[in-house]
Amino acid sequence: MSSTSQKHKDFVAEPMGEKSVMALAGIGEVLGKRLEEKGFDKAYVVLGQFLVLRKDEELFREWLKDTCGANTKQQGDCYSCLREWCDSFL
Amino acid sequence: MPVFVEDPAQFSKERLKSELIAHNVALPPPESKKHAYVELYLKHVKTNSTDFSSDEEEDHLNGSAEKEEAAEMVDLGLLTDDQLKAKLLQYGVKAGPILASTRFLYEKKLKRLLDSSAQHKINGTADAGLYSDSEEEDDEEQDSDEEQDSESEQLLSETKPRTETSKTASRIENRFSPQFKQTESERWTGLRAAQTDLTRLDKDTMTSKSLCLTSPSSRQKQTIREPASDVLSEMFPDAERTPTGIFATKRRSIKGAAGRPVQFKYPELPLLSPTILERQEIQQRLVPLWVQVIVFLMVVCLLYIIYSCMDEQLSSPFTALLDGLHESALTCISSFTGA
Repeated sequence: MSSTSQKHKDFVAEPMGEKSVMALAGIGEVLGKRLEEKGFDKAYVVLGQFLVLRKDEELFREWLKDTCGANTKQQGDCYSCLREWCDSFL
Repeated sequence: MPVFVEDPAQFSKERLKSELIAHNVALPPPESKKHAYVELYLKHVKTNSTDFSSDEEEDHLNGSAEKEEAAEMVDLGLLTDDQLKAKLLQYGVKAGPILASTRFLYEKKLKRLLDSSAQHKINGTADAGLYSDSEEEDDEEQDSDEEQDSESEQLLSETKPRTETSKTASRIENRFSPQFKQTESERWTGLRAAQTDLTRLDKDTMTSKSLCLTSPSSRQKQTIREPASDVLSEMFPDAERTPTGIFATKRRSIKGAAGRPVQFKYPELPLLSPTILERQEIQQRLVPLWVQVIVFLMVVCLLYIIYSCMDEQLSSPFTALLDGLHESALTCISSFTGA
């Protein structure tokens, strides 16, 4: 039963629009930078990847790990953040 | 241990020594350098590559598995998107679009699935004693995907699976509490009884173990492990069966702790015992109660009056005793006064 962070709550509260990828829960400066280098400069691009993977947790986590080197906690935070956003807005 | 990277130069000297001894090769003098051992090892391995000695059999099998895996890996890269998708579907994985960004992930997933199934095949031909190892490896690999498989593990009492089954037992508990939303011990034991009935029915086929803990690939494991589980049943013939071999009853949650609702063992109705019911009934009749008391007192007084007005004394032990005492006192006094 983990509680959600403030970042998570802020992200899930409204449509992401043009928010940067660092607005995602679990993605800080370092990881955000790496994602941007790979071309995922906006949160909606990561969302695109999440949706293409059919919102599958395992695949998305693995993709995050491979792409920006996120650890288990960061993967989990990002995944739950996106999933909850999708539940509300998609 | 199977050797996957057969680079003798990477082996330690001790390892090379033991390998040579195992293959009955004369050891070089003890002070010789490592590469002498390596050469001998290579020579021996080359000469034995076509033989099927008992020592080499496992290595050969593993080597063939390696080749299988290498072939598969090459193929994975050559598969078209559709073929990759079809292969994943074979393993029950419904893949999304195979794009540039997703292809690598799906290839990795397929490779993992192929590895685990290859492991199954190898260990199917090897000794039964190796099953525990293969089970653990499979569990580690498929942990995220197939929790259900690990939960439907066998009734073996081997040391390592024990620790895993204790984990799975706790997982079972966690699974059941949200699913059934009941913390009453009666229903928990009833559920276990239902499970055990099912296990008894399906003991031979071992296809379905419990209400919600089955999956197709677990059947393979279960049929393989059939002979081993009977030992346990022989040892403990009276014990009920559970999928994991662990018997645990759910602890009744602490009343009102951590926001849990207070649940009584019995439903509310029997709590109203007859005395409480009587009291409630009596409380409902406040006015008649006083009336009853007054009537009772009146009756008592009436009876006393009647008793006192009666000529004849009602025989009772006390009155008889009193009369006796009275008479004896009277005779004593008369005797004194007379004498």
